[in-house]
Amino acid sequence: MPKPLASVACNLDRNLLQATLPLLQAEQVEAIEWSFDTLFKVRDIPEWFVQLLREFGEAGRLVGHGVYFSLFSGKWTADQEDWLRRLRRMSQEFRFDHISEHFGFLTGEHFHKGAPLSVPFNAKTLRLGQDRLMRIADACGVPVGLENLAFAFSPDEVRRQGEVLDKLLEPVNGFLILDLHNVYCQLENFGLEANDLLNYLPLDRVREIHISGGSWEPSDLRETAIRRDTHDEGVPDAVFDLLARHLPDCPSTRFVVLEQIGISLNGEAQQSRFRQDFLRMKELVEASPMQAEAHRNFQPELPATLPPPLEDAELAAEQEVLSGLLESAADYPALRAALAGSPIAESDWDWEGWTPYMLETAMKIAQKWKEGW
Amino acid sequence: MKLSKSLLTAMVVGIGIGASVSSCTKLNLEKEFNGENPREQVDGTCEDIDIDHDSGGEETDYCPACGLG
Repeated sequence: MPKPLASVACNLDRNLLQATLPLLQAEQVEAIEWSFDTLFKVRDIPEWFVQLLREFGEAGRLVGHGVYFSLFSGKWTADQEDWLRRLRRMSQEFRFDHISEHFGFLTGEHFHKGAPLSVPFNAKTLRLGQDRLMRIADACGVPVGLENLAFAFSPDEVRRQGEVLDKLLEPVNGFLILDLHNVYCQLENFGLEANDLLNYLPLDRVREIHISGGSWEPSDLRETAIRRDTHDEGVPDAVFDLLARHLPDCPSTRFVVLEQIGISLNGEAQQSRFRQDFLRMKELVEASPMQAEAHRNFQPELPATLPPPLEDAELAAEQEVLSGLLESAADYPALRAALAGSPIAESDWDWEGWTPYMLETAMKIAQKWKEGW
Repeated sequence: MKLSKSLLTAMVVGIGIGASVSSCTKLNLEKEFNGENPREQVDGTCEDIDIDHDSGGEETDYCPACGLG
């Protein structure tokens, strides 16, 4: 079976496209991932960009990666309904090999404001996530999957994320995007071992792997800095190492994708580094001893008609409380005091068990993004 | 993967003068989805890239931005 396709996360961004163009001209890029919902509000897209998507799509080498759906929002909203409607149209316009989204809910008053956070892992949130995945699958008609989250409030949450992902994906026969920089963040932030952490993830479901860079953020609550998945630097050696060592553990991988945001590719040095990262990634994939299985079929089987969307008013209210407190807290002590007196105290959220410096990080992320991306 | 020459040429031009509006035609996806004519001609873009469709000669046989000869 062929090796995975060396891919770029390719969006309508001048710096990113400038960095990628020489690779495209040299026929090095084997597939592209497009965050299709970032252009939902853009009316006019250059025809050459549409043609780029079509040429990769017709070759079976275009995948879509959603950003704004907010899988675990307890309330079903008009925005989510509209997102699905647009996905359905996009899926008729472009041939996606699969569609994916993120595992979590977005803080902020609506989709285009906020940062992704996890939810309590219980039967209700499991049913909610399964419902949402079913709707995404119904809208696009191709395999659907989820990406593991970088951010976690505690080591226990890290260990449980894999089991939850597996249960979420099972009803739609879904796949996992294994984001290795997200894994790296968790290894660094919780002092875990890679083999241990990866053992918790359903690697047999991995159809796509992400690699990227990030940044370090100092914390008043920890001697060492927090690793953040900001996608604004080149790929660290440690992430390439994870790719080399663990690609063979993911025999159903079809795409390995390099991600970096355009704002960080604002000069020739950065763009050159990006291309070097891509070629290094491609070399590792080609040299990998992985034995690809016959590509696992992740096509979902869905009921003829879907029931009404599940909602969880209690979860929605709790998410609103948590988002509001994270976004408005003056500082970390004030946040803890507010949480202690809030409706989510002594609940399944278990905020009392959250690692302090990760709670502080969540506050910073929420306040950074609350005015939009 | 090998991409079409016309696409790569259009990308060179398009990316060079800005990714937001950079070709002679732009595809209005909203109109396309609504069944209307989605393609809108943008004035001046061929001139912006020094392509003169009326002058003749090899260099104007093909405009990478709009695909017109």
